[in-house]
Amino acid sequence: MTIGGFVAVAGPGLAAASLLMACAIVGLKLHRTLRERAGERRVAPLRAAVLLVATGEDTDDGAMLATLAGVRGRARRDLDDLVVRLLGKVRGEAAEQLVDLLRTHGVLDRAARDATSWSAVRRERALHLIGRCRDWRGTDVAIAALEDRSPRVRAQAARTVGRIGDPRAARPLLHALRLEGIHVGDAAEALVGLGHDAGEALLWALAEGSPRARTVAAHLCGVGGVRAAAPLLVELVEQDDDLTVASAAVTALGKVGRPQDVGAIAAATVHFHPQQLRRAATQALGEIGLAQAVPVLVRLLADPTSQVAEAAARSLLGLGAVGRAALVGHAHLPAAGAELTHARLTGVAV
Amino acid sequence: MDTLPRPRVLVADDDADIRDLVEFKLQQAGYDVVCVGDGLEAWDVFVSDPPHAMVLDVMMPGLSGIDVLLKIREHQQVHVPVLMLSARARDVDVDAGFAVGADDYVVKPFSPRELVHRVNGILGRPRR
Repeated sequence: MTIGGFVAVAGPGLAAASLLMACAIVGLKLHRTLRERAGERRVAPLRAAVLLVATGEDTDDGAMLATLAGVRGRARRDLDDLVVRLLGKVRGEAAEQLVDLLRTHGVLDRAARDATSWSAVRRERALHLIGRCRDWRGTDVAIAALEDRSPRVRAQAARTVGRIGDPRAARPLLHALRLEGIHVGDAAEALVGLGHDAGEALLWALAEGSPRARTVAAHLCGVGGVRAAAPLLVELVEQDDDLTVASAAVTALGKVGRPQDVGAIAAATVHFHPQQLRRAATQALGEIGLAQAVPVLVRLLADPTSQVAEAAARSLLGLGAVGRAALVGHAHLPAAGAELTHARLTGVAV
Repeated sequence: MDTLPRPRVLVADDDADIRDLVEFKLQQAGYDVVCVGDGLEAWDVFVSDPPHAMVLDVMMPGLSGIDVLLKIREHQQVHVPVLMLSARARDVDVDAGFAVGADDYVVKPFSPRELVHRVNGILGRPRR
């Protein structure tokens, strides 16, 4: 068959299929819009009562809450949708009242069941709702979902455990970082939400976690001031083959390191290490705030890698009178001269 | 006996739920509330009949809350206290709000009770 013949035969069929598909899309959109409008109509008489609860203006005996709790039929489903929507917009006592209403309507029990549904979309939605409600009774289900077969569900589970804030989730969350799906930023934010009680899990992750878990744990030990982590961080700086992990560990050591750790940080600045690690170590020497770092930093002022030399100058400037004096004494070096000029222009006393 | 007029607050937010929540709570607190859904409308209301205070979302269609605030502060004749109500919670966002002349900044999700206290604060009203 020629191309022309094929087009003559298949063309009308393709055109009909395209038309059908366009009609289906329009029909679906129309159906959704009509359904939403019908829902809004059903919930309209209840809106004032919902606003009363959502703004914390309900009476002391919770009369409006009780009225809303008694809503039945299709209006209840529409009411629950509205409450979930509002829940993302308010916090404090008002949010707690909305969660109470959802609990009374059995929405949270349903979410706990849906979190193990066959459908990944349902599981993800259920976990999102549990997190939004900060429903501590959903902790176990959310922890289990950290190992879900779907990366999207695992990612949502990480956010959910962070919002619930139960420190039992810390170690499972760090363990789940070996799998794809959970973003390290989400994991770090979630772990911050778990509070100081997550400290033990961070130490475990430094010693036994996956590279991504070690990176997150090192970062959080630094920003969270977990001083007990210092010996493990030194090990990571000295022995970890993963550059990201070693760099995160040396940065953290700058924040929680002890005087005896200056040697390990200084060793990471040696020229045969990758530039990323050397620069992080140079910054850490300034961050740690100890005068014993000054000779190392002075040596680094003449480093052939300009980013390392510039980091050394910034670190010296931040090291108090001793560091500033050393910087002034080496003002002939380009990195030191540039830093001093910058400091004077920005009003920093040198 | 004459009663004092209720202070008028203009609320600009493209989210109808937020508008309803803020309007309801401020009315309960004794304010007259005018609501609009975008920055251009907010500017029009401000020019035609300046309110006693404004609650402005940052991300809105037309003019952003920051743009509206900039125009308001350029308009030297009237000083209207403005509270920014935004989901942008980073320090740089809050700093930007204050830098262009906001009197206060509340981050979403917000506590309706706290919002009323803040509006009272920018208007110099005693707390309930």
